[in-house]
Amino acid sequence: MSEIKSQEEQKVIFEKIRKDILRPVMSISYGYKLWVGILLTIIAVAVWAYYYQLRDGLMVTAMRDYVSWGMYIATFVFFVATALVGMLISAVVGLLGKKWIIPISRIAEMIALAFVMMAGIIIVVDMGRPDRLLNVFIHGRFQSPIFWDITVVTTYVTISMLLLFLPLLPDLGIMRNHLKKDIPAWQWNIYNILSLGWVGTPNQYKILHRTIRVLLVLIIPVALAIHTVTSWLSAATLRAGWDSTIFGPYYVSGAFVAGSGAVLIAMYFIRKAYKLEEYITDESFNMMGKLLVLVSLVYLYFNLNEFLVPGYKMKTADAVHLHTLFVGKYAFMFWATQIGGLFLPIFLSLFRKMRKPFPMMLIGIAVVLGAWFKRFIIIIPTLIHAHLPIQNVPQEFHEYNPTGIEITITIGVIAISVLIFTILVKLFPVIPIWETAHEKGVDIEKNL
Amino acid sequence: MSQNITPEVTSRRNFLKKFGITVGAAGAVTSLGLLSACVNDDDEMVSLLTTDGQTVQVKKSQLKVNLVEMQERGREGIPGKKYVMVIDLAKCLNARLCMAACQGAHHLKPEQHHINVLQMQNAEGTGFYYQPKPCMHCDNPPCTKVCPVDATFKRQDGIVLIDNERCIGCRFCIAACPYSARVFNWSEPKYVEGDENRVYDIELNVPQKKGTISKCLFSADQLRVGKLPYCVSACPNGTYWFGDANEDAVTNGTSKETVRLSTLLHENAAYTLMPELGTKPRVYYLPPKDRLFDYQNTEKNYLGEEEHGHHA
Amino acid sequence: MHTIYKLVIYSSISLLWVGSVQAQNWTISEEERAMKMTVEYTEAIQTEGKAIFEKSCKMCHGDLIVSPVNDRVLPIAPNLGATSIQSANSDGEFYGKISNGKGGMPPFKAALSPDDLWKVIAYLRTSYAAYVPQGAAAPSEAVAIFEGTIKSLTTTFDTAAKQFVVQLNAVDLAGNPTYAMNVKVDLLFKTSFGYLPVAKGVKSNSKGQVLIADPNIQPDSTGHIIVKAQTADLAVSEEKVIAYGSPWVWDSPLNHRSLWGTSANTPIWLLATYLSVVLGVWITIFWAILQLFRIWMLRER
Repeated sequence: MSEIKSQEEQKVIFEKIRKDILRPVMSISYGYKLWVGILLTIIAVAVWAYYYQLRDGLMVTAMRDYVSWGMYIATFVFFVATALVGMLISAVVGLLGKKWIIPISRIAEMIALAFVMMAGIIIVVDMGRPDRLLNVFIHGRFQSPIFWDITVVTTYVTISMLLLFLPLLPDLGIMRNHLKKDIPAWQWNIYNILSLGWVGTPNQYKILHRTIRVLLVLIIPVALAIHTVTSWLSAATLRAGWDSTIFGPYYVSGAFVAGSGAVLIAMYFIRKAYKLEEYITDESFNMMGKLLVLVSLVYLYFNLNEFLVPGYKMKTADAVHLHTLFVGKYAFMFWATQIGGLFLPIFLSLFRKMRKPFPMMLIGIAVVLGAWFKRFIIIIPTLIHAHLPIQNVPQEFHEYNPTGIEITITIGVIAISVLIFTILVKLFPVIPIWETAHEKGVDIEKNL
Repeated sequence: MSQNITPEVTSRRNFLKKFGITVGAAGAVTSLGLLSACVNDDDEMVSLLTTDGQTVQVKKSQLKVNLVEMQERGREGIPGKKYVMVIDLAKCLNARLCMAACQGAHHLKPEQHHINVLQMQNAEGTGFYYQPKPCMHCDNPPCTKVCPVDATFKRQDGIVLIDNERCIGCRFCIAACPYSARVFNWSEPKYVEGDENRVYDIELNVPQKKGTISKCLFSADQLRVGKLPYCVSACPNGTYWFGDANEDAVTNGTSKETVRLSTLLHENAAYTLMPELGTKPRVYYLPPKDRLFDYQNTEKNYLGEEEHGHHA
Repeated sequence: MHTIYKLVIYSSISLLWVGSVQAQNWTISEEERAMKMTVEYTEAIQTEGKAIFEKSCKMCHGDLIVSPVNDRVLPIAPNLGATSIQSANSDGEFYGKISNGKGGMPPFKAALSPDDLWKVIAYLRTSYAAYVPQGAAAPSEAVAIFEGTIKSLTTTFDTAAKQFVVQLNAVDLAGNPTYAMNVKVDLLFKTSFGYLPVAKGVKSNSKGQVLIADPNIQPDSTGHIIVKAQTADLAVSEEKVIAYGSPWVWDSPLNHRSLWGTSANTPIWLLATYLSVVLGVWITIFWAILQLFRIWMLRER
């Protein structure tokens, strides 16, 4: 809120912001249709692959009795990790009073919602008996980390939806007031219903601000819980590589890195496609770059603990595990994720010249890819090394090389999450109109 | 060698015998205990073989009642018992009759092992030995801790069972078990066609089901009728001792000799696998001293077969 | 269910074996063949030999007296008490065969010392009346053997003296009741899967009684045990339930609240923490949803 502006000035500024941000809502471009088409094709192929998995059992995957969790669980951890960014941007940075997150907070919330929903789905994909999903509610066992995980995922989905929806209310009011002529009736009806009769009275704003504030505080422990519990799925076992006390913070810090990467990619493409250069500015990328460095350094610190400490002692089982990672079968993947997904992004983002949109997008891609493969590295090599020798089983039990069906289904589930995100950024303003206008000195209560 | 045999017909007979169900030759169903004679709308008929080898038709609804009670009984366990197994590593010659008997009884595929005989070597330069490895039926079981739906659980007699009518196939228990004692039905089980009408026996885990876990049960169905587990009584070399710790007595599956559990454990300085993990196994091992085979030659087992063991 | 199944397994194994085993002969050196027993042929030595036999040989060969041989081993290991085997082998030949093994029979040279081997052979010879001890083996000591017939056994537990008393009811050669003295009796205790010997080969006293000190066994929860008394030659036996020790209450581990327990037995601290946290969070969420409703109530009508 800068200097007081005249009523006329305010109207002009607000008009411009509204038109800029709502332009994508009003029309569907050819590129968008093509993108959705590609995603739907991928999803259709994945559904076909899933049919095979349902018919023939998990035999169609490369998982066997020893490596009994594979890509699906790695992707599940990746989804949960990336979804945590909603909490990081809106709650942590937002509650600190940082204004630069205003144009990207909604992107972060949308990523969070899309990814955490798919985290729930891929767990079902991984189940041997998805038809018995309800057993979890009928016979749920309070001692099981899976039960806790289901609880926190459900809670996080709900809070994420509310935190996406609540700040949307004034924008929905604006859309209802101004878009009636520009969009199909069904679309306007959606906005009309969703706006809950928002008129922007001081009382409504008061309730809105207070509710958002409470939820922002609430989402911090819930988000920490969701990823800590996810880490416990591994850390609660007795296996070398998982049996670690720092797995909770290790996962959470890694999640912030993955989420920041995802936000950077989304910011870049949305800004480009929707021509929002004026709102998602170079400064936004600059600040996100700095945030990425900060969370990556924390993650680096936990990596150091996670690998250096057991590496120093070289306990038998840990030694076998670490050899596989450092110089063995998974050495390339391990060093690629550590260097390409962590060291280099930190190093490059230290330079101001690199904290520009395009390089930051590339770094974001490296970080996200690194994040996915890092989850793979966390899940699979540990399972390959059982405590006792693996004998009297076929060769395929000794290793894990994902099958085509498995890869297809995984990519399909990722495509669904991207599709959900794609639909969300089309249906709703990706940048909060009212907050942006408020920031530029517009009295939004009057200009709604 | 066990692949050619389909034991489900004879098993059904045993099944009827075991639970004291008499099915009359005239086709009238007399209910004793579990099989209640209630008549239900569910008129689907199921063929069963009687004790005298005749086929009778039984209503499916009656079998459902049966399943519920068998599930309850299976979850309860046998009161007052505390089952324990002692494996004498000096005696194991890798005959693998235990594995064959187990796979036959539980309808397992050749690569599915409730019990697996591992070729072990404790350190470089030391001799090798054969280590049969069933489920340890831990007193602090990491597997049942993590199950989200109570599908795997510990009974009062100490046995850890799996209910594949409830298992959702999340495989958390496989990840949690440090002894790799659990197997999963990645595809349709072996006897799916012979087993479709069979009532699920939680104490035998048969029929196996696609997408669920299977594991060593200490042959809970055998214990209920006072018999030794399948593997124990199949061993030709006297490797296994099995009994009730409350009686402080274990019986050898081969010689049927019974000794005091405490004496056996004391005299042989018995140990458990990976005690540092705190799982408190109920399977004890006697050290592989005075092995009755040439442990220098790691290439061949006592039958002269080539060994293809993989070491950790 | 296992009869056919067993047959197939055994015949497959026997095919593997018979081929390799039958072709082989015993490898006994002339030196071994000529060896003489180096231990005294006394009852004490025979008893020691029996213990070794039960540990190392019984597994396949079964008992000396009765012969429940291990039918899982093919070819079936012979019953060593048989006169044909006893007469066909000299002490030295037994020694060589046990030492070197053949086919399915492992060589015991490494597992048993020469002394142990001779003790086993001394025990084997007890079943062969025609055996004449040779070498260092001295003639067996003279023992007064009871000549009558044991009719039955009665076992009681003397709570005051803390001992089991097995009373032998016997008749002499003329058919008159008498006290059977110097008769060896075993006392066993029935367990889930077998009989646990609590005393073996204890001789009866002049009153035809066998006294066995309390072996401290665990009764069932009602304070009863099933004991089986039998003469060492297994000719007479009796099995009965007797009151012994005090009843106990089974402490089912299922009743304890533990992390590994079922959901019905969740530890209270976990349940309370879990439910209160989840409840707290969801109350807040529902409060937030209520605020949406309040916003809606404030709409312009």
